[in-house]
Amino acid sequence: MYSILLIEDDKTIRQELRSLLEKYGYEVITTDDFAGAVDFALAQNPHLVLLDINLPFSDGFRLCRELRRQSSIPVVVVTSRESEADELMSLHLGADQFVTKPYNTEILLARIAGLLGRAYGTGAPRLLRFGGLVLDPERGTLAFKGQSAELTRNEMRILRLLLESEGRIVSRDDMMMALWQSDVFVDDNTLTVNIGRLRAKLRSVGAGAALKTRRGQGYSL
Amino acid sequence: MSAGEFLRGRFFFLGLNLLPAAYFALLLHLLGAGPGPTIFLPGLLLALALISLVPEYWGKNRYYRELRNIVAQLDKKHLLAEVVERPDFGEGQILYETLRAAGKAMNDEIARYRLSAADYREYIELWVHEIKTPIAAARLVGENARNAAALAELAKIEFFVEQALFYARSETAEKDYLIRSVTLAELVSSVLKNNARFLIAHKISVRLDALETVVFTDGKWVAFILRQIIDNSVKYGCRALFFEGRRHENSVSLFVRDDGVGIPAQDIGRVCDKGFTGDNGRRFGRSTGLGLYLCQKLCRKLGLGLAFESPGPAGSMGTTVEIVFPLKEPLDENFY
Repeated sequence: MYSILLIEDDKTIRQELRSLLEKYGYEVITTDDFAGAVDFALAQNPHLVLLDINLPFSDGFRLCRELRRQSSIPVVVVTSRESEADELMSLHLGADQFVTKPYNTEILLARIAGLLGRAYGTGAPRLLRFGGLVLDPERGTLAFKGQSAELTRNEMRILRLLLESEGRIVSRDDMMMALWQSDVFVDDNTLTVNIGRLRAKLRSVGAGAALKTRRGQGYSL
Repeated sequence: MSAGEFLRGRFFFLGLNLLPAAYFALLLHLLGAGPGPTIFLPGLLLALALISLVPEYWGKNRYYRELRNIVAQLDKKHLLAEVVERPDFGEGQILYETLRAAGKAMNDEIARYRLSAADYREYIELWVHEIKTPIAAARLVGENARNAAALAELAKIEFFVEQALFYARSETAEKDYLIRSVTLAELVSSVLKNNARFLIAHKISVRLDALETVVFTDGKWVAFILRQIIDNSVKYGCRALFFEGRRHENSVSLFVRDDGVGIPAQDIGRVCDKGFTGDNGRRFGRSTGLGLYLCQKLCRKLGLGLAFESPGPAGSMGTTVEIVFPLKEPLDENFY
């Protein structure tokens, strides 16, 4: 399990980010002591630091530089100043990623996952499993009871979302959101087609009943 | 100052000289002098009086002519007093001093307003910056509680907050941007991703074509402009958006086509006017007449072209917005 150190002065944001990140399987560490944040970060040694640029006592830019001087922990900088200059500044100071407030949580999660994958990518591919289905995201293959099938990029994104939701309902809008975040700007009809194809592939490996349609709500496994 | 104007001002002086001349003429006539001297001597007196006015006329004429020229050529007329020379005749000096005092007062006034405008702009920027934290917090609460309605409302708030920020910045855009090379695809896809929820909720289908071209611009500003255009498309009933790039010899065009109601022919030239809402604005409501005004203003500041095309009569075939990026790096053009 990856741990994320959250350096953010707004209490509500801290709480909500914590529950969001925990929902997605991260361990979250937070701190109130911004003056000593660098030492705290070094002591805790998390996998990633999520850093708000506007902090009391010490601004995030400096914190970022200090941290970078002593460690190579990946840093995602969050700021509410939306200008190209700020973005360049953070990247110059050693931040690995840059997100502007109020952020799109999909983008935030995607950046965090991308960064963690790049920094600590394990040799063995991470397999996603639920209800007997096994998805290998790197090879793009689906397996069920010894049979397997190849998935297209879109089918894989959809299945991945369903597997990650572990039986909870995923709405069509959420599926489209996920696809859009990976630069596939599908519309309603295309999504229907993609789901049809995914269902056919599930059937071909003998898991035809796995994908359930929840009328008016979405889909679930 | 014409000679006539000048002499009219010397009416009393001339009248006073005419009196003794007339008296002389009468005297000479009564003394039985011939018509020659009777006309010549008083005429000489009058001529001398007129000649005495010449140097004064010459000096004043030259001075006022120059003053008029300067006023005609001066771009900022309130700076007149800074440019004009001090005259060497008395009444001109009074005028000069007055002008200087008035000019100085004007300059002070302008400086004061400029300062307060900058002050206000700074405040707006700070305010926008501050309000983003509670919006971000509310958005996270909404996401965690899966409250789509609240998120949609928050997205609207963000849209307006963003508009306020760019409005405040639009006056001094040239100080605030950073030119980088970016592909049209990167520009469009970042806007689509950032507004994904809004577009998906409105069931807009999106198509992209030929967007590989690189342009030199500030991505944040263009993203804002695209956001305003998309918002209009959705507001005016579009179901599909089509982004297409086209490369010309000296420029690159980004077309945003929609299949909404289109713009009536009589309105198309005015959609960028501040406060203009038009027929569509009245029919669909919620039109502020600000979005496109701001787009055009920002485009000018960034050196981009902005054009609208809406084929057919109202209610038919949608709108095409064209953003034109100059191909050369704009730095070597004189648009600063």
